[in-house]
Amino acid sequence: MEVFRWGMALISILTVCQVNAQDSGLFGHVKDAKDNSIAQATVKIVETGSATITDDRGGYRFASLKKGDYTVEVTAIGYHGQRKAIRLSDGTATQLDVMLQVNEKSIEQVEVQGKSEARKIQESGFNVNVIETKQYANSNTDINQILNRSTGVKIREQGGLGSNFSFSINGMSGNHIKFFIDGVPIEAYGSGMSFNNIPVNIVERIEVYKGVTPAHLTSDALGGAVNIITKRDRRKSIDLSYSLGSFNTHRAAVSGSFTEPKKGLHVNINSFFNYSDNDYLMKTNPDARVYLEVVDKENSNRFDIIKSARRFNDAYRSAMTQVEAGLSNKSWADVFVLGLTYNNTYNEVQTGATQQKVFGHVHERGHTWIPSLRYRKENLFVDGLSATLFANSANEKMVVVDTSSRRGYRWDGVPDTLSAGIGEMGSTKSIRHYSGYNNLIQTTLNYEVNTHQTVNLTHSFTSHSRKSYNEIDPYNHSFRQDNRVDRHVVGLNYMHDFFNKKWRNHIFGKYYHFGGKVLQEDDTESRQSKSYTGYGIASSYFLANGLGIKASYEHAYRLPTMVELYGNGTDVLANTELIPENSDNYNLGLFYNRKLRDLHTIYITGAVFYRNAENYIHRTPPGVIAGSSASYSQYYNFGGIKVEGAEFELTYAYADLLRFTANMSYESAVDREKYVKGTNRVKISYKNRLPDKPWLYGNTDFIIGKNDLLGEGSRLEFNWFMQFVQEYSTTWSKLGDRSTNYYIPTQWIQNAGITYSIKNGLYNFTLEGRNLTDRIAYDNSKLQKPGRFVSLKFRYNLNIY
Amino acid sequence: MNNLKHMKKHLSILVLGLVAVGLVTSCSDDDGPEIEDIVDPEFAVIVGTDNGRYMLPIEDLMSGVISPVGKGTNVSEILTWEENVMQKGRDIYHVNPDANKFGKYRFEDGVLKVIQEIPFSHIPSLYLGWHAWVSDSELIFGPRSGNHYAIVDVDKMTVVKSGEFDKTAIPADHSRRVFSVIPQGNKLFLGYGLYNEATEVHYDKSYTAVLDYPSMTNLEVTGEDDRSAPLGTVRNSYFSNFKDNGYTYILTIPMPVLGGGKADMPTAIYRVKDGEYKLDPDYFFNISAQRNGDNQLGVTYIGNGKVLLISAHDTDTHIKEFNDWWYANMWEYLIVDINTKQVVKKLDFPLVGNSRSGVVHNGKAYIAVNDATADGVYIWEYDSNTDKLTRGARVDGADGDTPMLYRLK
Repeated sequence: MEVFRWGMALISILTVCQVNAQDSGLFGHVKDAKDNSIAQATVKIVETGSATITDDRGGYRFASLKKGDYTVEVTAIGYHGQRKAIRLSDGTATQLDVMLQVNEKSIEQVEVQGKSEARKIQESGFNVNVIETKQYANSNTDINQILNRSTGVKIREQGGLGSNFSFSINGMSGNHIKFFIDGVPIEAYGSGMSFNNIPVNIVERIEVYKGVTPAHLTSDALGGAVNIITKRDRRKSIDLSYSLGSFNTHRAAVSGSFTEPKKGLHVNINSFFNYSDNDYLMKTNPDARVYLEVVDKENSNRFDIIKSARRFNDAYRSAMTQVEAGLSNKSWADVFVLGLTYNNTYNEVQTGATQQKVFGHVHERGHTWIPSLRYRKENLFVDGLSATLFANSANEKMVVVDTSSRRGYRWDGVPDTLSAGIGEMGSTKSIRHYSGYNNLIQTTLNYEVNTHQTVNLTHSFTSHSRKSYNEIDPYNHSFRQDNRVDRHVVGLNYMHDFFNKKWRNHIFGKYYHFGGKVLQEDDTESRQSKSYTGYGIASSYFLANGLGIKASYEHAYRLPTMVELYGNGTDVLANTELIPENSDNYNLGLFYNRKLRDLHTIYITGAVFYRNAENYIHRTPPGVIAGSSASYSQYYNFGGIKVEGAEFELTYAYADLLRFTANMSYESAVDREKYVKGTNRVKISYKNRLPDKPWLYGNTDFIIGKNDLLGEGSRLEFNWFMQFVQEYSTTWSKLGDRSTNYYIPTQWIQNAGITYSIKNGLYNFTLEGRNLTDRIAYDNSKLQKPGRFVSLKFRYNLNIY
Repeated sequence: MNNLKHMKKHLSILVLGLVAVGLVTSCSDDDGPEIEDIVDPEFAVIVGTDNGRYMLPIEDLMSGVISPVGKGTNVSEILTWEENVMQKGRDIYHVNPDANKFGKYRFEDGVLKVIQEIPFSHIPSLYLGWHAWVSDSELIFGPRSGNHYAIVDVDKMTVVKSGEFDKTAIPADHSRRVFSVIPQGNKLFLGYGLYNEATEVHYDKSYTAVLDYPSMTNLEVTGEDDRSAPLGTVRNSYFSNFKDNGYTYILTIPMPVLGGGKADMPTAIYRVKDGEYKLDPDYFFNISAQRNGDNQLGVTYIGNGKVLLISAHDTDTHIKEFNDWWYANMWEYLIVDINTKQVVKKLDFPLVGNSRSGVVHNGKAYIAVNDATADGVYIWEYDSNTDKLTRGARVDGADGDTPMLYRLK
């Protein structure tokens, strides 16, 4: 029903847009003498002053122009500008294609000025992947799936849409990696926002920092960070999309922004809706020693093995809406925006940590309200000093429901037992409520000393607290979960260019301070606090002809979380002696960027890296068992890893006809802990590669497309994308009789899509298939991922700058 | 930490010419004086690395190196919950709480083979607290700190019966936590405690009861005692009872974290006479009282009234964080005499890491000693006849835990 309502709403919006698109106006293409499209060219109506920028295919569009005579001015870096006169009549759209001649004198300038924001960041010294999402905008994908194509990044999902995932950058994973949305830690938005549900269409760019994280991303990222930049603050734009796919999967997204330059009014809207039954087929797979065992119908003391079964408790729904409204270009603020974000999730839980543990009714639901404020002022007090402030407050409510009175579900959907009072996860039923409160204030000062030097200071304060109770606990025991943790992180960065911007250095320091209020068993309150300092450097040097070298280093920390440090009041005890995990991270890379005869573009990057991470925070063994009230556990520092690796990526493009990318990542993460805890005995796993981690993986991505093949303003594009993961062992490979060890076989996953766009990308239709050969794929040991997934996506995209 | 229990030898003669010894928490057969029937015993060991446990054959307990490199079976995905392992001879039984199944496995030719697995969801929590053999083929077990049980015929691999012990004599808002079940002819003797659900307090008392077997009816409370608790194991596979000379002796395990969490109570041994259903009122062996209040865990019964225990020495000093219960070097091996009720010896080791694994052959106990000052974990032989300690084979790979030894025949 919900899907239907969303669908109807979307259709209404699309209808309105379509009507507007029929108004009189001007559209066309900007090309060079060889018929190649010119992107990022400025097209301006001289008489009205309105302007737009051409898209990837050189297309542009002005809607709602009154009839009359106009002068159209077209300029682009590296080309001679051109003016054309045109007469528009009432109610019709007129096409005007413009051809620009190359300006040989400005070629050198193009090399420098024509760089996209992505390229600039990539060449800044950090080991960073920057992905501009516009190339994926027509595909039915989310952020994780895009990042999974990137060098050094491995995302291991546990299932279909909305499933849990583990994110790894250069061999470090889990909470060693931090996530940001527009520079704000993702935790500040509650658990409803996740990289596995944010659709590509509300995102402009993704930055993946490997090992060394810039100071303005104020968080304790031990192994790297991912920052997504959402679309906003545009003159007038709207991006609407809806897709329908296998397993009853529906995804819709809206991203719009409107700016009224005269009054300085700003409105941004980002919204998405995802739904999937995730009822894909689970399969018996003797190669991986996976068998779907169900109880024999004739004899309840025997198993029967079935070939396949549909998942039956895995539906997922998430929705998010973010509205921002405010003013810009006022004397007191360049930007002042108030925002409100709401997200809502519903998630059925199909399995436990392995697919042997099957749940039939367990589900969780939650929602978060997040008011926010964003402020920016340029030239504050002195020229060159800018200040930005972001503050929000998230109130998250979550409920986990385990009330089915059934237990021991098998893959045929039949439980072993039905008995009043029992739970599927715990030994008794529960409806567990969690309330989380997250407050964040982040302030950034940026001072441009001169054209070669910039100083940046960022401070972020977060306060986090959480409570929980079990609604149907017959004895109404309340759990002590009212502890609170406050954190301050300060990042200071100094950037200096030398030799006419050929050599750039970032030197930075980070200061972490956290404090907490803890209620002890006897109700006395104690306060604790600790501070740490990290630091790093990133440097890049342009050698010649598009070739550059970059190197970076950081001494990074990951602070203990609230639960790790102070316990959770139920089954985790406090350990205030915990120290942060720390790591020394090194990167060395080369990049090469060349455009030949204006047709061939080559971009090559390669890097080697080394990580040395210690004092990992682990949870104590056994202790905790559901339903056993006398069991506790605690976190402690022990162990760590060393990772060395290399990665490589090559992109070749021929005009806008084809584009090919291939990359390969190798990482060897070994146990760095030499001695068995508390002894001088060398561990048998010392220096051995850690099990259950992919160590060699890569991707190829091939796109071929042609403009105007099926009519003026159209484009037909075909994409073939392949993922490769080398076989890896889920156990120490040197230990045990090989016949008894477990391996995840080598995986080749094939994906393809075809997109048809008309009216210069205004309307786009994509048919896409993932895992086309229907391979049985696993990411996290033995948790089977979806098989073949086919989807159809429609997207409407209008941009007026 | 963790693992199984093992054996206690005793149980001797078996039917059909096969002899399996062994085991665990309780032995069903009548017991008598020591009978050393096996000339050529076989042993195995499970070692726990930081990421995966391996079951390995032992060729020689007393020399060489026992290592998982290229050998043995990774049992992490078979015996998924170490404390749920129950052994009888070559056969290993295990309840897998994730997959809701009960499995029978056999260790032979150097690897662990699957014999049969059956569906099992018959008790509310599949994390076991105790088990006992009620006959050669029937195994009874129950969840941690609960009042349920299940009986499985391991020859036919069928669940014979399951349910909850009769709730007779459980006050309102209380629950019963069973810690030991001792077969006594056609009756079962229970050692249990009472837990107040409203106040979340487990009383400092041991209770006993008896019921008919196999009907599992007529439960009668036979007594209570407030000198020590819990009367038996909180975690299955810990050693806590054995037969000697017409009595079953039951070790209490009040130790925090690994046992009942009763730090103020002493570790003690009670006993019940064969054919009776009450604790012997004249017998109480307070071990902690002789060790300055230290608590103990069971390792193995050696024979001739001698029991090998491991004692947590001065935990007030050694336990700085919770994790130290598993990793601190604070343990002492003790030999106690159940007849004289004396701690007769402390084995000559420095304070060692947690280890509660031992096997017995010919009056000699073999233990895996986790001495942090040594260059490895070694198997040591303690000969109770000559009172001599001898160092044997080194066991490699026990990085995450002290190895567990098993006697296969």
